Amino acid sequence: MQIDPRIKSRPLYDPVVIRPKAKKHLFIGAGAELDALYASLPQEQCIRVAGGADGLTEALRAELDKVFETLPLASAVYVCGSEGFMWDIRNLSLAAGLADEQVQMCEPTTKERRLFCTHCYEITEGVTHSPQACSACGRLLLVRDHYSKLHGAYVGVQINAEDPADIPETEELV
Amino acid sequence: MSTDSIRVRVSGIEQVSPLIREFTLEAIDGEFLAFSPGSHVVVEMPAEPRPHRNAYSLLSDPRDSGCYRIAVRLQEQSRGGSVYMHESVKVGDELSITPPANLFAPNWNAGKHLLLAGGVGITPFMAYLPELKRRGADFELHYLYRGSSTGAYREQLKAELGEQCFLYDSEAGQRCALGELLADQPRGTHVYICGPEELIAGVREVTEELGWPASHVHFEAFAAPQPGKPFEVELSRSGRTVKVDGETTLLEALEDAEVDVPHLCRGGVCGQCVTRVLSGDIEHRDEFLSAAEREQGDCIMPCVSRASGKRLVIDL
Amino acid sequence: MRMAPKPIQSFRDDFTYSNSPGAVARFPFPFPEDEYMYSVNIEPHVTPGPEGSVYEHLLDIDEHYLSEMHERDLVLKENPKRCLAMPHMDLACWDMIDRVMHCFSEDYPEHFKLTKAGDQWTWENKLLNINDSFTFGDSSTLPLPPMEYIGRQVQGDFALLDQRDGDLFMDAGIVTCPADWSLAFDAGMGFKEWHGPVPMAHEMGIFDRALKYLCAIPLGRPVRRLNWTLTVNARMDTSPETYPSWGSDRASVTPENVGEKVHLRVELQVLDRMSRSNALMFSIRTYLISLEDLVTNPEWAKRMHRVMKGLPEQLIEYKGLTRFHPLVVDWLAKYDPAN
Repeated sequence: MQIDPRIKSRPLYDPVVIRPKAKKHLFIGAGAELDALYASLPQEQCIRVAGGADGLTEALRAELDKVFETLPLASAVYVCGSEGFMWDIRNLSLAAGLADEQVQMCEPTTKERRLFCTHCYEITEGVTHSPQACSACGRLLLVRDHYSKLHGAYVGVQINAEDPADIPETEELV
Repeated sequence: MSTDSIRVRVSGIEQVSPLIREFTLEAIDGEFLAFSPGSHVVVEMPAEPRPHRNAYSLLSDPRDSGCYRIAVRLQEQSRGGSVYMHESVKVGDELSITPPANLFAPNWNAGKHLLLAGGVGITPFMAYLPELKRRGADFELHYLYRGSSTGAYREQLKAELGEQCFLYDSEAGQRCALGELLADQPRGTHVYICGPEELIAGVREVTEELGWPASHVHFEAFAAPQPGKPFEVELSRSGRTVKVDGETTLLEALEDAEVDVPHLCRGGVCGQCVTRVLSGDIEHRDEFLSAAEREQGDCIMPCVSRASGKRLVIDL
Repeated sequence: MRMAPKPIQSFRDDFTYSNSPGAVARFPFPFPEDEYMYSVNIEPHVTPGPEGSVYEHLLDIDEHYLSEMHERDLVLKENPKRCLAMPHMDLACWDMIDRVMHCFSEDYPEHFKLTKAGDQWTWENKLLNINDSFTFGDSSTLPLPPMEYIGRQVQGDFALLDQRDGDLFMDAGIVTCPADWSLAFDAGMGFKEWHGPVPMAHEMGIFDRALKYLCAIPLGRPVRRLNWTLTVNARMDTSPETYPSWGSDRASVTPENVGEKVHLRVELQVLDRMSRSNALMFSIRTYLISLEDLVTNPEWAKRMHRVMKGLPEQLIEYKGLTRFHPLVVDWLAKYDPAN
């Protein structure tokens, strides 16, 4: 038996392909992969929304709410950006009545992770190393690969709770 | 999963269309439980050489645990179950049913529920409707039937649902334009289909062509097992050989030989009875296995599928 | 319940929790063999089970009822988000109320009474001095949201799993005594997602088979399985949320205090189909026994040693036993005649 050490809740990102039967194609974010797909379709079938570099800001959210209102049932959403941002878009899409298979994500543009602190439930953005101090409660968190699509985040658990002196070396996340 | 049965008494029989009879069932011991819309039970009818076992949707109000109601269409190509229900079952008779199980539940996250019924396929939706109304959900019922044989409950439905109910009597030339109906639905709609295979296949084809997300298309497709050629099956663990005649399913033959195979729907849908095949060619007739699994040729759903040759060796 | 509920004992700070001889005798010892490995160890939960056993009724309550309900109250006061229910789970929560109230009033009539007149229900819980009348299905007629209301009256953690698209989603629950998982983080996950961190079992196909089996559970045919881990001190709330306050317990085990400090923690997990909503009720009923009490049964003592000695490294790590596992094996050795 081959043991795969990967935690199974961590998402994998397949190459993005056009949903050929979709009536409307919504592109969110920026990236070469999205540009190429966008260019391959008739313009009248496409909506392009820039942004996402700063995550799902209030302004972007308001803009997207308006765009989603116009989408037909047979739509496709393609999103590029940080991992947390892409899952925010997926959750917005589901709330707007789309299905999971209608939302496709590019490979995340950065290795930065969104971290959910399991002790105070607050979020720390842009995490690249483990352990990482929680931006809210300050606890030093081990960044695990267990992933929540709802939070768009990895889980962080205090690393030295068993022995305060036992702080492992910082590792870069992949 | 094999489950022990519930004894019931038939407390009412009503002819609800020329070919469809409705049976009201009451629990002999204790009370029924309320159920969820889309649930079915398998009714066991005493017969020789073995009991008939057919799955029927519950059509009564799911919150009403006083009785369960089912409706049975008389099938021309019946293996005996529907004929038995129509000709032999009388008010006061006792039957056995399995506890309700649900392979066709509504998705309550849907923004709109589009119900498509063909003939006796109206039955699960009879249980959907009271719950949809209680929740104030957005829904439409489209009901296709033949006036001279099916079309049960249509007057009642029209009266209760008004503009949310669309009736299509094919014998009166009324066609449901699936393409138009399915092209013009709001985001968040889920469609549910229960009816003949052609209707299900038609809707699946149209929704795919229209770009619907597959997870928003739900269908209930119990396949009544069809007869085939006789074959033999060898049970690799015991070395026994069991003969399966043309009128008998592999599952029934195994049960006759007292080999316990878990099962739920007996109609090629639930996947409980899937069994590993070690050698022999398979004629797949189920709705459960994926194309890739069929291609592999190493598992079979014995409730409906058969050997395409003379012999199978299975891992039992 | 054949054992009267004891006065409140604590699962924290001074840990006054203890098992009576009767509670030790009915402890659900989880190892059928000398070697432990994962399996789809699910079986029908046919009731009534053996009289007086933890399997007698659908939901077991025992001498620790008041203590566990008190502990649950402490956890919820510290962190109300340990209980949640997504809006589409409202009917499932009422199904759970229905199931718990019917079972308790039939199985433990000396403590619970349900009176129904149509949708007007009156519920009496004499152990907690509750006497409420409400309209079934109308959450505004309960003093608390339905999940919290019923969850505060049942021993063990509960989750309600919504069944959609051939998967089971963790969409509601009350989880105040978990073996190291967080409802707040796992909320909304599918079956294989929330089992994501479990090592090895995915490759063994355990979750594929279990999911198929669980999705097909019919009404009135519950199933059960046992799960286990080791917990230092009689601590119910070994959640990730509170790990900073209990993690150091794991470093407190010494050869002298193993028997008293280390507890075998067994979860009796029951899955039961909810009637109106088609959700699955997942009850996780936790039993704690100190190794000292456990070894009063020579068969358990011998087997416990063999199972602990043969435990795969990955499981030791996953279950968080690394720091004290060798001490446990050494301490148990003297109870195994093979040594």
